[in-house]
Order: sequence, then structure tokens, then C-alpha cells
Amino acid sequence: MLKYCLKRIMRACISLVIVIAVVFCLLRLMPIDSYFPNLDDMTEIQLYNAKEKLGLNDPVPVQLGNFYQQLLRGDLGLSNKYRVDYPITKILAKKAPVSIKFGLMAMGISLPLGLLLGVLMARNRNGILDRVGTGYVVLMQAVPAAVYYLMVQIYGSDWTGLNILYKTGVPSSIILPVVSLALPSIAWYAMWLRRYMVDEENKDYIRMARAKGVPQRAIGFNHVFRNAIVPLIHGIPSSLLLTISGSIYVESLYSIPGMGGLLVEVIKMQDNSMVQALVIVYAALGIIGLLMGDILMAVVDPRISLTKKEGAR
Amino acid sequence: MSKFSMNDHISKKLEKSLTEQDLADAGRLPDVLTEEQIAALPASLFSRRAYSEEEAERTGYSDYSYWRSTIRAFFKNKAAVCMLLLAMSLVLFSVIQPYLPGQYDPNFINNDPETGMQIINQQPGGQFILGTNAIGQDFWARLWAGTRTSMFLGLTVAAIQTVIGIALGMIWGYLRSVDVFFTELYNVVTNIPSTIILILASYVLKPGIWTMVFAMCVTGWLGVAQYIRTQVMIIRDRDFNMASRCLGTPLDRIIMKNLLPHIVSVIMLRMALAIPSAIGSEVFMTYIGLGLPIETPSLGNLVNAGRGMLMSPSLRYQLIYPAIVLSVITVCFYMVGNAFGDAADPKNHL
Amino acid sequence: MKKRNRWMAFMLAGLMLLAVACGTKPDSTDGTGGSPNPSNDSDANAGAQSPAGSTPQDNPYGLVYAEEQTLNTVYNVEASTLHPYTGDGSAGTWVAISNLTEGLQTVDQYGNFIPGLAESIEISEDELVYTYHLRKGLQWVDWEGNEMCELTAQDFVTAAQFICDPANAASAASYYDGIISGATAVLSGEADMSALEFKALDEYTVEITLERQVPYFDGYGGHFLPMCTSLYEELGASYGMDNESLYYIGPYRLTSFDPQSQRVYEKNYSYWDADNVHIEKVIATYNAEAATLAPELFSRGEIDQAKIGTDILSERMANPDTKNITIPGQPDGTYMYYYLFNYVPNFGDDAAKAKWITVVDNENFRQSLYWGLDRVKAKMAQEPYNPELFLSNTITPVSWCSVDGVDFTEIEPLATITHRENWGFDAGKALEYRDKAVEELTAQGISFPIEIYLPYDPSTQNLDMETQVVKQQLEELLGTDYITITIETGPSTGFLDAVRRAGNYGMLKSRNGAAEYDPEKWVIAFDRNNTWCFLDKAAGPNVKALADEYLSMLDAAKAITTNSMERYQAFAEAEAFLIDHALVIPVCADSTGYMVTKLNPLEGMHNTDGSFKYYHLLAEPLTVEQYNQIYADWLAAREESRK
Repeated sequence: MLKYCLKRIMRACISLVIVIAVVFCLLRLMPIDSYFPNLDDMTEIQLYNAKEKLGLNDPVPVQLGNFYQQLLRGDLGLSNKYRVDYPITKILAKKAPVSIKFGLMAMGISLPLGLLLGVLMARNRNGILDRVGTGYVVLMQAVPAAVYYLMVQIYGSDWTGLNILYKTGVPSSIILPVVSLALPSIAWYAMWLRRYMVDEENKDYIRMARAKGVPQRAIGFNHVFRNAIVPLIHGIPSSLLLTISGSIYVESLYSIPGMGGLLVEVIKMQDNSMVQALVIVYAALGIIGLLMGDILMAVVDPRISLTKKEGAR
Repeated sequence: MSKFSMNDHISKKLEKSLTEQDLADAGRLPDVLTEEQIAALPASLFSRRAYSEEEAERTGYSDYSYWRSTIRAFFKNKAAVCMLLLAMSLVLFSVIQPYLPGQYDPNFINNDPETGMQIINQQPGGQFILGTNAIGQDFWARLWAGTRTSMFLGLTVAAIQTVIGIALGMIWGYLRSVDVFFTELYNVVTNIPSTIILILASYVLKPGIWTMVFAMCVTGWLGVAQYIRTQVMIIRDRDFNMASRCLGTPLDRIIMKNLLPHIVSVIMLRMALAIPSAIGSEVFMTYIGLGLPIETPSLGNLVNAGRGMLMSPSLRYQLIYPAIVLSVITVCFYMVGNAFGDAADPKNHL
Repeated sequence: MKKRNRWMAFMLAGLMLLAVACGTKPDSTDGTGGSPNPSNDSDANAGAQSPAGSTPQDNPYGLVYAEEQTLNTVYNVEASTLHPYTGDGSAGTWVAISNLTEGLQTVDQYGNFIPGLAESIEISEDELVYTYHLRKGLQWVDWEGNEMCELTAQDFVTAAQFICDPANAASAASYYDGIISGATAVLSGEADMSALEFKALDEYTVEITLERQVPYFDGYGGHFLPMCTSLYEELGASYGMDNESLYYIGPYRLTSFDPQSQRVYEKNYSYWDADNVHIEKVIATYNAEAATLAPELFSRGEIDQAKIGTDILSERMANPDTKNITIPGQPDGTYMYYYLFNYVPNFGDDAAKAKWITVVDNENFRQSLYWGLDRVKAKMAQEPYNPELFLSNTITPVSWCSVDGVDFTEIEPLATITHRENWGFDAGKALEYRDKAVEELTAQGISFPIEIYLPYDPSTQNLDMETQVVKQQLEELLGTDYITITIETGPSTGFLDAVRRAGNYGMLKSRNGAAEYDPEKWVIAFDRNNTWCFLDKAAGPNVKALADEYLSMLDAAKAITTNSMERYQAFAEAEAFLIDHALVIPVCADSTGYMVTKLNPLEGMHNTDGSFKYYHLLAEPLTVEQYNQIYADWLAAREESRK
């Protein structure tokens, strides 16, 4: 078990190193023009110095090597465009908690509600609840996120009289963004739990249990629900960790100073050190989340042992 | 899934088909003739054939046709059929729309013949079915041109992803030697945020539909391939497949009859879902400012341009119509995909 | 998955969308529902008892100042730094900085130069030495408003040396390079800092020696901002990193700097001209979707000013309530736009290049496009209501600079061009020139139609629409048997490198700006070694001859270094030559855009820096009627101030 974990972590590290290298090289493919908006006014020597400052004069492998060295020292580097020469760790330290706060609140709402809805839909198959629930799930998938978030914001604030924008220190202003974030996740959890429960109910061992006369309640909870929830639980650590990345739509609309859209923003600005830092953070969290998901599953589902690699999904 | 369920189903199916098929297909299929008719056939039509073990085995086999059953199962789902018809008519209409009489070019700017100025933000109805946009282009034409672009994008991306995904997924699943390579590739690529790849591609290449197709396919196939690989590995070692191999079934037959039916449902589902998700990615790309150029109208372009008008009641039509079409397409493909996925699963061929 | 549910689900999706359609329709029909912000009524009443200092005696134009002078805004371009000289000099950064510091000189509400941190300037006889005398006793304050140290001449020298240190790669170096004595050598690393002739004579005197006579240097003081020497020495590279690592000398200090979240400015009472700073506090909230949300936020009273995009303009114009407060945009002279012809084409194969060289070398061809372009129609894509306000017949904007009371564009022969009717659009002339061009080019063996390769920058707002309009209009007028225009979308990043600088275009809508009130800077796109249209290197013989003639005119004009009618005359002749020969098609100026606001936009400093000095917050949104009166008076007052 320990050996397996260590091996997994080693492999994760190797992937991380490769991911960084790939992203690093991809970023260097972009034109130099947009590094310097006032290129027209710059002298040769200034241009050279400006590139030197960004470390662009070395060949790419050397730049990459320097970057790894810097990473090993635990330094994510300085932002060079987003906030000139500002330590990236400080930027992230300020933004990440905001996104995490919203993400956790949204998850706190959507996980119980979503699971509840999923169970109800599965129990009430073909009933009115199932239909309404399915309608909601499909609706969330069909209407473009760019549109329904805006609608929730505008009409929601109109009807409830809440602020349009998020304001620090005004607790009521978190309601709309959290609701916006929760709406699609509720649909997501409900959809998959229903699907897994329906699949589970059709399995032979359930029929067997039913034939044996096990009470429906016991079947429903001990067998169907416990087995159906396993694949969902696998994803929960990742979702928890990746709440840090925030939501570009919701955070842009409500002026939430979180991480949502930060990646898009810094890629567009070509702040390479920021892009690398963010990719590393996200990739590392993704990998850790997966690992934790596996461990959690082993806890919840006694059939799975980590030493034997079984396709759990 | 029970390991024997497949065989159970087929034998049940055989029993059933004997009675049902006889009635249904009488008079159409020449091999279901009555005794008298057979007797009446002239002998000159027949010639003797040598004994063939393979052919002999075929007679013991059912006339179970995977695809026929799949299609029949699918057509039992009336709602899905309606959705399919709706989706098809949307696609069809968006294709034939430019050839209908009295249509405007989606990029043609309409000028008022009297003043010579552009007819901007004309309300729906009247000369222009859905009004005009901010520079006087016919919104009806743009809506359908946008649907065309987005459907083309969705279908192309889905097709490319699926074809590459299946081909490489099969290789990945069958050849153990390449497993490490593909697995590492998968680990690396899934850890690169897909937005980075989309954004980088849009930067490095010129904005355009093929850039977008490229950006979505360049890593999108890996998801499909990984899924196929898992399926292939599971099925490869199943008992029925072992038995089949022990009986000397050739590889092409194993793939066509043993593997494919299990995977087709997955493929169809993924492909159907890939279409709305490709369209969704296009909307997202437009949202972050890296979408298609405006002279290529797309649903993403239209929705994004319309977002600002949500608060302007008289202009809201420029958001609502593209949003409706987008939703309809998404719902249709989602449901058709699900229904076809269900129908393609041999378990459901009862 | 149960099949029947799907019908319902689908219908639900449709219903939700319909709900949008119907949801607020009553608002639009009853008209009165749109009272923008009821909460403001109380403000209006309270306005009568505003603090005495900020209420105008006679309420001109019926403006009532708000009791609480706190301005709320949203913005969507973030400042990358507060350091005046490490940033990229982009507008987003500059808006943040311009309120926190001031130059030796500044501008008033008409755009005239007035003394800033320097009280007076002395200019030597030969116009090579400028001596600035600072105001005495000015104090740097920290973010909490504590007075930290006195402003000295050395603070300006510190800034100048920072900029000229090539290691810093400061973008402001272009104000020094080739202008201030020694700057070029220092910037290229050939001389050390002592060579820079930007010196502190004593605590209150800055002396700048120029390399050559620069006729527009009398307004240059605004480019020289101080850096607090003692703080810079203490902090080094982290100077200006956030609001706490910076001292303030301008009208405001920044009490909170939370990038991509919020900026809070508070009035700096130690500022030398604090009496003219009326808004006490500015709360600027970052919102990436500000363009979409700002009008709604304004109508609910959450913010005090908002830009109105052209997409929702027609809606607002249809409703009298909103029409009344939607202030039209004004021409903004920051950039001037023109259509360029590429004289050294670098697109397509050799045949395509050769064809374009021959075609563009033909003056009649260029003239046919010059006279054939309907500028009004093209500009309507951006300014559907008042396009003509922004159009320009010249490259140098009207009322940009004047000499002896005569505006540059009113000097003959440029004046004739300035007053061309229809902004140069004349279908008859265009067709005449076309026929001549067809005749001549056919004789040269050119096949028709001629393909005009017209790329555009997709990141410029509404340019995509305008390009489509231009294509359709020109092709319709001149006929597709004469020209076909091929529109191509350029890359959204690196457009300049990939298209303009690379010469990868046939025609291109381009622009340039100028910071100095002088005609010299507006024609950089046609000077030697330019990266716009490569006029000096023109491949065609006719254009080459014209270019040589033009450049010699330009040289002669530049040689006159005194700010005189003679100099202006020479530049006017050169610019007229350029346009007369249709070497360029001038189009328009930028627009400030439509807006709704509780500020009087003509009250503040007349530049694009975004300073809040001089402004008052109004209790009610400014109406168009008030604005028009104010604008008329402002124009007259500006005229007066320039005499």
C-alpha cells in the first residue's frame, strides 16, 4: 500500500515536470510583440534589457533549467506583467482564499441538495419528481452558462433587492454568487447519482436481495446508495481542492476578487511566470486530489484495495 | 454486468425472433417462404454446394443483427426520435436556408434605399424576419449561418475526436508495449488545463474555424481513447471473448462482433455529447475574447454579442433567438445520444 | 433515463428562455417604470444643503452637487503597478497613477499647460536650457496621509535617472531619447548617468538641457514626474509595488490597492492645489464584465458613471428617460485613424506583390479609393448617431495646435483639404478616377478586378463591423469588376508584428498618436524608416518620387525649430501633399464614447489621464440638455483661453 502510494507520487511528480516543460515551451511560441505594448518607442538596448529582465534572451532550454532551479528553491517567481515584479505567492495568497470560500459554500449547498435530489429522482423513477429533476438537469446543460449566470444576477438582484456586485463585509451579497455556483453542481451531482443508482438497481445481486426478501429500505441504503455513491466520492477531493480555481463567469460578473479567470487573464497578458505558477498549482492539486480520491474510495468501498489496480469508474 | 447475461439475451432473442420474425417478414424476405412455395420453386434455380463447416455453423446462428436491433430499440423511444427529427431538421434547414427565396446574405449590410444609411437594430417582423443587428445585417440569416457554423464545428470536432480516439484507443488497449507511452501522455495532457491549449492555439494560429477545430481536437481525442482503451481491456479478457477466441474466431470477427457492440454505445454517447460540448467551448472561447471572427457568424458569436442586451428589452431578441437554438441543439443531441447509447447496449435489445 | 421526461425537460428549457423574453417587457412599454434610481431623490433634496465650499452660488445649468462627495465607479482594466515608470504605460495603469502624482507642469480643463509642481519655468535665449522652479514646502504623504518628507529637485532627477538607466527598460524613455542632452548615450549604455543633462541646481530648481531645439518642449513638463528619493533608496525594486510602498504628491492618495478587486482614493489634503479637489473619496471596483453591467449598475444607483456601448445605444435612444441622460461621445484626439496603402507589400506570391506594387503606384487608383470611401457610413458602425463629429480630413486633428491664433489645419494648403465636403467622399470623382485608372492599368497589362487585401485587428472594438461596411460600400460603388476586397481577420495578439510591421497587407486601417501639441509628431507613420506603410522605401517609381519629394518637404519643415508660422506652414504643406496625392486616406479621430454620468465631463483636466481633480459629484445624472449648454460654453471659453 505504502509502496503503491510512493510510486504514484513519484509518477505524479514526473508528470508535473513534463507538464511544466510543455507549458513553458508552448508559451514561448507566442509572438514577442505583445510583451511590450510600446515596442514602437523602444530602443534596441532597452528592448534587450527588457527581454533580459523577463529572461527571454537565453535559449529556451536554459530558461527552463533556470525555472526548475527556482522552483526547487520553493520560489514561484515574480509576476512580470500582471503586477510588475510582485511576488506571485503573495498574489495567490490573497486571491485563493476568496475562491475557496465561495467554492466551499457552494459545495456545502450543492452536495447535500444534489445528492438528495438524485436519491429522490432515482427512488421516484418516472414520477413527477424525476421529471422535474431531469428537466432541471437538462436545462442547466442546455442554456449557455454565459447567459444563465447573467440572468441569475440581473433578475435575482432585481427580485430580491440584493446588491448586484459582491462587497466584502456585506454578507447578503454572497448569496447570489453562491447560488449561481451551486445551481449547475446540484444538477451534476443529481444527474450522476441518479444514473449510478438506477444502474445499481438493475444489477443481479439487488434482484437477488429482493428475491430473498430483504426490505426495500435496507436494499436502498445498504446496497444501492452505498455502491452508487462510490464513484461520486472519488471526485470529491478533487472538487474540494480545485475550488481554488474559482469560476471565471461568476467571479467576473460579481466582482469577486478570486482566482476565476486569472489563468485566462495572465495567458492573454503573456505573464509567463504567472501562467507557469498557476499551471503548477492546478496540476499539483489535481494530482493530489486524484490520490486522495483513491484513498477515500478505499475507505468507503471495502471491495477496492489500492494494491490491485481495478477500473473503479 | 453479469458475465452470462449477453448469452442469455441472445438465446432469448432467438426464441422470440422465430415467432415474431416469421409474421413480420413473411412475403418480403425470400428465405421465409412457406412449404408449398418452396415446393413450387423450379429445381433449375438450385445448385449443390460443397460442405462447409463455417457455413454450417452459420445456420445454427441467429439472424440477430446488432444494428437492426439497435435501431429498433432506438425507434421505440418516441421522444428521442422526435428529438432526432428536430435536430435533423435544424441541421437540414440551416443548410438549405440560404437557397430559399428571399434570403439575405448573413454578412450583407442592408441600407435604407432612401437615405442610403444602414438599417440598424430593426425589430423582428416585417422586411426582416428576425430584425437586423447593430450594423444592419439580417438577423435571421445570421442565426442560421451561425447554426450552420456551430453544427459544422460540433460535428467535425466530434467526428475527428471519435475517429482518432477509437483508432488510438484500440491500439492502446491491445498493444501492451505502447501502454506506458499513452498512459504517460494521458497523465501529462490531462494535467494541462484545456483552456491553455485552446487559448494558445487561438494565439499562435489565426482566429478561424479550423483553428478552433484543431484546438479542440488536439487533446480532446485522448479522453475518447482512454475510455476505449479501458473498454477494450475489460472486454478482451471477458469469458465470452476467451471462449470465442478458443473457438478460433478470426480477429476481425472478434472486433466486429465481440468488441464493437459493447463499445458502440459508448462511442455514440460520447460523440453525441461531444457536439454540444464543442459548441459550448466555442461559446466560452468567444466569451474570453478568442472566438471566431465576426464575418463567420456562429452561435457563440451571436450569444456573446447578445449578452449585453439582456437589460435592453427592445434588443433582447438578439440574445434570445441564438440562445434558444443553442439550447435546442444541446438538448436534442444530449437526449438522442443518451437514447442511442441505451439502444446500442446489447443488454437492452430485448 | 426515462424518455418521456425529455419532452418536459426540453419544454422547460424553452420556457426559461421565453421567460427572459416576457419577464420585463412591461418596463419597456409603460415608460415610467424606468425611473433610474429612486434613492437619488433624497440626495437631490439634500443637495441644497451641501457644504458651502462645493455648492456653486448660482447653480449654473441647474447642476446640484451631491452632499457626499464619494464617487463610485467600476473599471475593467487593472493597473499593473503604481510605480510611475516600471509599468507598460498602458491606460489602465496610468489612470491609477495620474491621481497620485503630478508633473512639473499639468493641464487645465481646456488642455492648456499650467504650472504643476513647478511654480515657474525659465527658458534660455537659445531655447536649449529649461529651468523649472519648484513650489516650496510641498510634502510627500504616505497612504494614511502623514506628511513624510519635502519634495526636492533631486526627486525629479531620481526619476529621470531611473528612466534613462537602460537596465530599467522604462517606456517613458522615448521622452528623453534624442531630446534631452546626453540621454541617447546613457540609454544606449555608452555613457554613465553623469552625462545626462537633467540636474538639480539646488533644492528647488531643476535644470534640463536639450540636445537640440524642441519647439514643443514648453509643454513637456507634464512628462516629468518625481520619485521620492529617500523612499526609493530605501525600497529599491519594491518602490510602488503597492499603496504602502509609495508616497503621494498628487491630488489623491490610495488608501486601498487591491488589484482586480478595489482601489480607494482619498483626497490628499497636503496637495498644493487641494482647494480644487472636490471629490473626497473615490471607490473604484474592478469588474471584468463592466462593459455589460455598468449601465445597469448606474441605473440602480450603485455607481456614478458608466460607458454606454453602441450595441445598446438604440434602445437607450428610443426611451426618453434614458435618452435624456445619455451623453454623446466627443472626439478624442489621442489617436487619429487613416487607411494606409502598403508600398512594400509582403503578402501572397511574387505575382500578387508585383501586381499590387503596380496598382498602388498608380495615383488614379489611389484617388479612386480616396474619393470613393464613404467615411460617414463606415464610422456608423462605431457611432451610429453622430458619425460626422469624429471624421477628419486631415491626419493632424482639428484644434490640436495653433500658432498666432491660427489652427494648424486652417493653414493653406491644408485648409482646403480640411474643408473638403463629405469628408472627401465624392462618388462622381471616384468613378472618374476609376475610369482613368482602368485605362492606365490596362495599358500596363494589369488584369481586373484588383484584389485589395484588407486585414483587420479583431481586438479593436467594432472594427470587424466597420471593415464589412467598407468592403460592401467600396465594391458597390466602384464595381466588383474593378476591385474585390478580401477581408482577413488578423491574430488578436501580436497583430502589429504579424501584419503592419511585416507589411502583410494591401490596405489597412491604422493609427498613430501624439503627445505633444505640435504637428511634427502626427506624421511619424510617413517618415523615414517607419513601420506603417514603408513610404520611403516604396517599390513603385511614381510613389518613390512622391515620397522623396515629401520627405524633403518634411526635412525642411523639421529644420525650422522655432514655434512659428513658418514652421507650421511648412508642415501644413507637407501634410497637404501627402493627402493630395492620396498617399493616405485620413478617416477619423477616436471617440470618448457615449456615457451616463454624475460628473460634468468638461469640468476636469482636458486629457485622457483620468484624474479626478476639479470634478464635483452631481446629485442627479447630467442631462444631455445641460451637457450641450456646458459644451457650448466650454468651447467658447477654450477659444478665449487660447488667445
